[in-house]
Amino acid sequence: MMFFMVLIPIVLLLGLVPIVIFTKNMKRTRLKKSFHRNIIVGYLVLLLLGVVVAEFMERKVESHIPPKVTDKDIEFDLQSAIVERATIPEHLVLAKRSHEVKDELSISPFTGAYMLIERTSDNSNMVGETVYTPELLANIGDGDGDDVYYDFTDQLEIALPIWENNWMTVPKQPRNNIQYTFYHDSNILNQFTGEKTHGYSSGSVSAAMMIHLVIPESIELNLPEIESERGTYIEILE
Amino acid sequence: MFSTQWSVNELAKRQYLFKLSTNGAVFTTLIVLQIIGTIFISGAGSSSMNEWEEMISVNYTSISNDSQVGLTLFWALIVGFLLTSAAQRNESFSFVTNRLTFQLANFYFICTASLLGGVTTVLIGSVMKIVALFGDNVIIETTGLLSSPLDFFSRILVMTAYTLLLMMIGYLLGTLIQFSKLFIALFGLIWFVYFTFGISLSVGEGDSVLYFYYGETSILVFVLKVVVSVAVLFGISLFVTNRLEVRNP
Amino acid sequence: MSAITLKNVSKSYRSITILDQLNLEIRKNVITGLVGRNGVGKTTLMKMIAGFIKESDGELRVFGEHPFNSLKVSANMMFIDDMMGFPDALTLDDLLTECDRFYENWNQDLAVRLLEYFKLPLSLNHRVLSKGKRSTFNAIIGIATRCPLTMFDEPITGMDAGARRDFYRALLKDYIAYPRTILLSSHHMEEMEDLLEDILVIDGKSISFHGPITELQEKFLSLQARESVLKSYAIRYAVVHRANAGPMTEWIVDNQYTEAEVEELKQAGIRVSSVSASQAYLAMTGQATGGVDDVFNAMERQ
Repeated sequence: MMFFMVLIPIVLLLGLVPIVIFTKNMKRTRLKKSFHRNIIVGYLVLLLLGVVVAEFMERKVESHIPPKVTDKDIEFDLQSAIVERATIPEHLVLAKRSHEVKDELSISPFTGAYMLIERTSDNSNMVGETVYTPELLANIGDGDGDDVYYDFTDQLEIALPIWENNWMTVPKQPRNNIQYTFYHDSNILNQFTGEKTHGYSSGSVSAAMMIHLVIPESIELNLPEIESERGTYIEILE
Repeated sequence: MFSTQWSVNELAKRQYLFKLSTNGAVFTTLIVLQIIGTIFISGAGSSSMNEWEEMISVNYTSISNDSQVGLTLFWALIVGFLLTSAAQRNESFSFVTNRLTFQLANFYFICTASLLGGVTTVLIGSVMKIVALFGDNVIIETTGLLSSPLDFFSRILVMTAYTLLLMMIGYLLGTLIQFSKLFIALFGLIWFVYFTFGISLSVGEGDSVLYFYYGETSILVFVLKVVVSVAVLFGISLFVTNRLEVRNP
Repeated sequence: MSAITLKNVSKSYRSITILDQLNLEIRKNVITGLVGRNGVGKTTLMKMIAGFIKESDGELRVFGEHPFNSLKVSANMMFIDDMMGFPDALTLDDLLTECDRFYENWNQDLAVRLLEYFKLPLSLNHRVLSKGKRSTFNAIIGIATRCPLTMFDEPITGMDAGARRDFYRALLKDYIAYPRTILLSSHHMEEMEDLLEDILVIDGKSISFHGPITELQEKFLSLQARESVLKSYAIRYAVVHRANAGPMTEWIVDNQYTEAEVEELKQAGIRVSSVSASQAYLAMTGQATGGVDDVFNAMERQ
């Protein structure tokens, strides 16, 4: 606090000096009275033009806005839903496949996905695979009450795991370089518009897809070594 | 006996026109500040790349007209202060005026400057929108003039009100300091006391003062609060200046 | 009819008294010269009349109004000095437009013609003018506004001799065409003597003389003769000034001689004549006696 006590007056003074000098110089340079009037009128015209242009450009991008979801939608916990065998919303299921595996299943090390393995007591050689899409939700939240998230999930390109013989590989995911820019007016201006923002002004949100395998007890599993923290994430459900 | 008789209103109006014609630089300064703000912010819109490339991710940044709002409010404070300078006073008193018309003219000028500050700051939001729209994926979260004109004008109102408030505060500070240099010491003392004791007193005093305006949700009550505050600030200036001796080195 | 009335008016800053208990009436539509040495309060008096500063005590009336904060006084009054604050942003032309905005009697044509005569281009900025040119411009504003009360405080600062002469001439001509109350202060009494009707001498915080200029002249007599002659005859009244010019000595004495006494002086071979207003003013304000020479003479004697 003592820091601010000294800092704020210094910043004020530092700001004061250039403005005073600038204003004085403006007055001293022999500009005609009309110079300032022309500048002001010109500036206002330019800004109004800006408003018109912005209105048009805005219309164009309006359709590309990702859907918004609210707090309630994101409280859904996929992993526990799988464990508890709760119903999972359809839109989260990316693929549901089954593969025939003989005796042994090897999984190569992978990144960028979570894997849940469930063993069943039946004796078939069919492995059930369900791939859930990663959810990308950015909390830039507007609205005064609930946080609002933008859902970028639809824009992702996901490469599904590859099954070859008795070998499963999670391929390197295609580069999902999603960059978004938000524009919102300063909160001070939005005191009465209900458009105050409370989210972060910048950041990045990551997610990974979830692979749920149902493997019969009869099939022997050959899992990769789990070494680095960032590496393969496999959880075997009891 | 007298050949010329002016009404206070008429003369305040003429002094105001005189002020407008001599203080064009004040407006030009605002424009330069806003342009500087625009250029700086547009350049600073870089985003940090995601290091964890394996993961599926989205990066986002935001652009707003915060910097123009800040610079405009700052400008307001300084301009309010500068309007009380001896040079400004002597200029006015070279022509017909008394202290009341001089103050009224200043007040009209402050209102004009606030309105310009409010309008330009909101309008420059559109320019920032255009800057943002040059990017690929853009989400505009602020409604425009056509989609909700009422919101648009409420923004202008709010910005004008805050600009007016700050300008009047600067004006009062300047007036008091012109009245007696002792006020500089007093303000310094208040500042010091506020930071050493005020903050430690559970709730920050400053927060509540800000919240008095910023926390208001009814636009009517907000306008009322601002009008009353401005009237009080102006009243004090008027009272102090009414006994001021001019052109007196 | 008096334009300005002062009753026991004083002005002081904290403990320093500038003007003490002034009683004064300045006649309407008369040119009054305001003279006095540096720092006696001429400017303070004028600023008080203009309503710029407030009297500390007493009653001050300008056209029957109290000037401090009076719009009527401000609208009918012009105060010209070399400190006039004109905005840097405006050209001389713009300034004339502003005068037109504020002063009803403003004569644009006269102002433009005078500026032309004094070689002041309309496109110039007030700030870039030389000291003399600035004074000239201010003086022109003072003349062209034709305010019922016009005050010039040291208007000729920096002007060359020609400009000074032209200014006084222009002021007189415009005054004759449009009579108004004019207060004029200057240290160059001899230059404005012909212009003035009344004269107001301020000396040491108070008024030492106020009245028609001829009255001031009549207060003194100039006596010229050999010093010995003067010493034996003209000893009746106070001598305010002694000057040696060749064989003749000139004394300026209080004019309290009766006609018979004057005859007597003339019989003794003394040349008796009236004094000029500036001589009278110098005599009155004590600038005539001794002067700064005394200081150096005293030091030599030690």
